[in-house]
Amino acid sequence: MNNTWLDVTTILGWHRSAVGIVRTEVECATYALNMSNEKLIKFCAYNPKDGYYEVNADVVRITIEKINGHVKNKKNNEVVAPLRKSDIKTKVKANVLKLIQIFPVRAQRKIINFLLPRREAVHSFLTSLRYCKLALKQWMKPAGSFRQQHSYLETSTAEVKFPFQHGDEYISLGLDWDQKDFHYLYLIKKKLNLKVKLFCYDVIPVKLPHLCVGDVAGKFSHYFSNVAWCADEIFCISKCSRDDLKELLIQLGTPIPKLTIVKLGCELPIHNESVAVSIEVQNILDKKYLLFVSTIERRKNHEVLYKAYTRLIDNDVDGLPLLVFVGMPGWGMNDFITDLSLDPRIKGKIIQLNNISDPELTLLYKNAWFTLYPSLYEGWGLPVAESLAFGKYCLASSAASVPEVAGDLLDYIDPWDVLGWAEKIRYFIENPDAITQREKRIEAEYKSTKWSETAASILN
Amino acid sequence: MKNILFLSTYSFAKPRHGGQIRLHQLVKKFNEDGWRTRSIAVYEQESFIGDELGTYDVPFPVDSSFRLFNGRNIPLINDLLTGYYAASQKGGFDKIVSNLPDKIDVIYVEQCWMWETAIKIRNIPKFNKSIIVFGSQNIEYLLKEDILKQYDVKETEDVINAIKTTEINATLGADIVAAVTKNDAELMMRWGRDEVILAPNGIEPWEKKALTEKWSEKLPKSPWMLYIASAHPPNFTSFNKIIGDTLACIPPDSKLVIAGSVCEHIYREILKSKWANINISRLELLYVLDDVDLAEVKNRAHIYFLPIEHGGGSNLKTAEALYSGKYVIGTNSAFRGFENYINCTRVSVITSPQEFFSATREALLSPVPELTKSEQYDIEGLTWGRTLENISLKVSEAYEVLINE
Repeated sequence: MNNTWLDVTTILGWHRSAVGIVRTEVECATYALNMSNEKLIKFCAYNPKDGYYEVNADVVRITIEKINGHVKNKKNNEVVAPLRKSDIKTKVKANVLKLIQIFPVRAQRKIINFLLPRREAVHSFLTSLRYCKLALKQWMKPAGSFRQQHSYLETSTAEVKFPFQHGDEYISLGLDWDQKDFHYLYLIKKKLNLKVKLFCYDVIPVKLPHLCVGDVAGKFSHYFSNVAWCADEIFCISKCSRDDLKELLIQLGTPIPKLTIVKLGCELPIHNESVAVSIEVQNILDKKYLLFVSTIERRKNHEVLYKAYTRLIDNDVDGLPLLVFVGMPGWGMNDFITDLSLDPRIKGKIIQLNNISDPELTLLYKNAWFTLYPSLYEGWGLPVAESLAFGKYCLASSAASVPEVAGDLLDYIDPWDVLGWAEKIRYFIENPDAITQREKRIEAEYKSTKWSETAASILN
Repeated sequence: MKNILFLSTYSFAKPRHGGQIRLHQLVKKFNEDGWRTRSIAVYEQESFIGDELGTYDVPFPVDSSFRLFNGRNIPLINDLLTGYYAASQKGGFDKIVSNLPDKIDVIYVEQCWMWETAIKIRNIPKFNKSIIVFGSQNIEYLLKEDILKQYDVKETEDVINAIKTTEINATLGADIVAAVTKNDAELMMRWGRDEVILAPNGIEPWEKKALTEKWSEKLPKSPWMLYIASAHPPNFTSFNKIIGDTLACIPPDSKLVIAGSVCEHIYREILKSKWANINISRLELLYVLDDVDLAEVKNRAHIYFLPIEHGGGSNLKTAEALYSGKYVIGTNSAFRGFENYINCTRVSVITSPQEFFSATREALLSPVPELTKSEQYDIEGLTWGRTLENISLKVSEAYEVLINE
């Protein structure tokens, strides 16, 4: 009988609460651990040194318990302005000033007066040094002498290492673009006729690279092309993601494997009452608040809510609830977070919470008035599904896959439409019954997906 | 003994690019057929050195005033300017004359550039009975127009007209005219030429069994694709367009292996592509190889790729690819002159990136093709000995007529 191997590389290296992709791997591994013997599921992981190796089920169980029980104590949840790193210029200036202070006070002014008009000369000297370095580099490695990078597999007779047998099935749901060598996997697939099932959460790094950190389009298009070559089946988390992936693969010219849509689960682990809840969270729970759960990054579009809120504040709208951002600050958001900390209008009205445990998040969802999700682009929109699973209405973005989550149960607004968001929030403040009505409809009509259902559709 | 003089605008003592190889083979063929040969190449001084030069070759100095066209500096037309330099007393004509043999029966002008020089040589009384052969490699004015347009060179009408005039003069004025493809021959006949001999490009058979450790380590273990080309612009300017900017149709364990001086140009082109990251992972650049290494690389290839979109004439590499017996994937232009072969099952003519993707994927995942007996017979017709047969015979006949006059 052939084995099914579930790759747990991602969760083995994870030491915090589960988010997005990690949660998918955690939940599928949990399901696999509890499966009856109808199908033999084994666990494996990969590292560049050892290749693929088998992971004991007990190790997986302990890892999952650790991730699910992760609660960190927080010291400060207030919006904190990012620390400004001093650049080299500033450091040099500081050192020169320190050096000058060694001299007698009367001489110090003379030295400064001597040095100041010569700043340009120093700058030119430093620039010339940089050019010297560049010239040396260009001399040693002239343009056009393209040195190719070879994986050790290409240039040596190194054997691929794996615990799989001919005809086995291999499933990976994790952070594969950072953790796997697809050339390696492709060789194993060919050697063993391994049935490979991989995951596509979204193609945002290729489709909207400007909304991601660094120049990731190249890396991710390379990743997706390798996925297409290795996989017999790719699970996509929405119709939007599936269509985006298909479009990309057609453009790239790779084979197009079977593309299957799976719905991600949306229930959080059951809240154990004995788990500690931080003071910051407790302070919020008894107030009226709107909740936005997401990493703070440009794509998630916190800015539209900030702008909408400042409009409501500027217009003296009464009864404005708190706006709570739950999520860690991501790249490129320093200016935005600084705005949040410096804008006196929103002081005490927009709260940022970071490093929230699953039990805390459960409480935050349960006690929220309603949730918001103004993302510019999504592969699915898990926080929307989570909100609905808690019976909470979500005012959501009309972009990409977001409307797939709940169809006509929710209202959708163009993510760039500041006035639209402001007006709708104001409408709900002035017509709170509208939220109650919508919640009733959600309760009656929305069927949330359980993680066990997701895992079953992948593993069975 | 019958004497033949070859005139060209590049040396070919060490033949690398298509034109050099063709000339080398022409000289070889005439030698084998009993001719005493002499070749004079007027070459760009900066492009050839040392053992790349023939004994009688004449340099076109890098600082020559002939490097300008009507006082203008126009890139990519040194072949035309070399012709002007060679034909002028103020240029290299006297040096050429001093390198001529005592007796010339046939002047073979390979490409039109040296046409005026050939005429001037025949005007020398002792050579005035010599037969002039014009060997066309492609329709130069159309090719040049394409290249200059690609490089966005402006105001080139007078250049193109000058080339066209020279080309038509050579076609109508020569005693014998040879073309490499039927299409080229037909166009030349439309200019008023009665007869154009077909002398297609061919291949030099290579040792097909040579396999060494060196190359088994360096090249991909799985089936891979080969592209061999020189730095001639049509060999790389349309590369990204032809492949649809991506080489992701090649599996992760395979590569497009490139040999020849086109390598660094392809590398630059690839970097411009949106998918450079993937493309670099699927490329293996071997640069210029010697004949022994190149033969082995050719033997190990699974597919020959011919991404040529511009230019007339026929491609030497197409002949090689077809002769290899492996899969061949190429553009329409690449098969110019080899139309008889495009219906072979191992040959894919691609007209879009999508066709390139599917043909590549399919061929890389298929076993080495097996040739039928008739295919085997057909590809033997691709050797130089056979492709240059007609022109050699025609020149010999003309010589017989000359000496019997």
